[in-house]
Amino acid sequence: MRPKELLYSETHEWVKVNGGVATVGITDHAVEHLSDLVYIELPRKGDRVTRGQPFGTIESVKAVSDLNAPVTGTIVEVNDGLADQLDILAGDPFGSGWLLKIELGDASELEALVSPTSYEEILARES
Amino acid sequence: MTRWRLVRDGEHAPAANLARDEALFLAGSGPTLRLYLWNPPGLSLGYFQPRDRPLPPGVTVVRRPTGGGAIFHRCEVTYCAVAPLATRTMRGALGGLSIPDSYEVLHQGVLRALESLGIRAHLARPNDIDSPDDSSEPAAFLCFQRRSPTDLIVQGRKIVGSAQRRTRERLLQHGSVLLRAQPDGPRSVGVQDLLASPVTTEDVCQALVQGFEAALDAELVPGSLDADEILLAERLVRDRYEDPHWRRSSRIAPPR
Repeated sequence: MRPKELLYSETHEWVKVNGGVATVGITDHAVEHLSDLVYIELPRKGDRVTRGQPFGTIESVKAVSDLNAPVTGTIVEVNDGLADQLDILAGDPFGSGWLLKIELGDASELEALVSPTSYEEILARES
Repeated sequence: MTRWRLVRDGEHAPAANLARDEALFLAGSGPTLRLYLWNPPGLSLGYFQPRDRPLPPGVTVVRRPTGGGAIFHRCEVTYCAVAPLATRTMRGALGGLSIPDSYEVLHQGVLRALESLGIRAHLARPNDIDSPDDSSEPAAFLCFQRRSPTDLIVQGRKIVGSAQRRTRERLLQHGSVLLRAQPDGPRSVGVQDLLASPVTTEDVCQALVQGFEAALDAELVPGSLDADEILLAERLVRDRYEDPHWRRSSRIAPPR
């Protein structure tokens, strides 16, 4: 089950808001779509990310894919441990597999994200 | 039937070859198939491969925008397919295909090309594939030493090594169709190693054009890189492929 308290993007990222900080990750669907993850490249604390723009890359066995930011803001924490233990992301994408914590630059962007129910509908349309 | 641009791009230096592939990808061009050779030869590293490893002296080393293992580009014809991945509104070409499905379509093109030259290749079977359970064994440094389900195999040896890069909107897949086995061991084989009669690069290119036309259900229309793509490729050579420190996330904006 996908956590009910999270917001989702059409491009398979999730966001959990706490005060002015958004924790960001990719969904179980994205992890499954990419399959065997081998490398990840994340930005650094202090870097700025822009909604809809790539902030990093992830390599699965046969492709290198962009990771896209669901919100704009400044990175206040990076889950650096993932680079050495990508099985954490594969096994727990909504928990210990989080990617970034972002200080929100524009909270109104959260309105473009969708509820778990709407996200399920998006997945159903894609399949 | 979709229309693809066919760029028969001759031979270029290693940095220029990768830059021209990526220019097609970043420029937002329509579906394009580029066929090319390498002169001088070069060693390309997968995007995430460590660059501090001792490498053979005198060889130009470049870092690909795609993943996978290292390839020594010498006796091969390289293909690069770039296409939109847009979903619902734009089916056709490679629209909406998953990573394995898009590999399968493009590798069907190469399979047909090899078959027309008289070579029966097949997609890797379970006993060809490296055991994914053996996590103690790091992935081989060289692409042609690795095995995965999308690989094309002849007599247990790999004849084509391909790698893919994706954004949300677009796909780039390039691959080396070997004319001769890689210099480093028995796990690869080339077209010219397998056939008794001489086969030229032109023969292989023509076979690839016909193979991709059939697999993509496409008409390949001869063309070339446009002025914007050439300018972008020149920037990418300078700012990325000749820079040993580039990071993928240091992005280069496409032309407007």
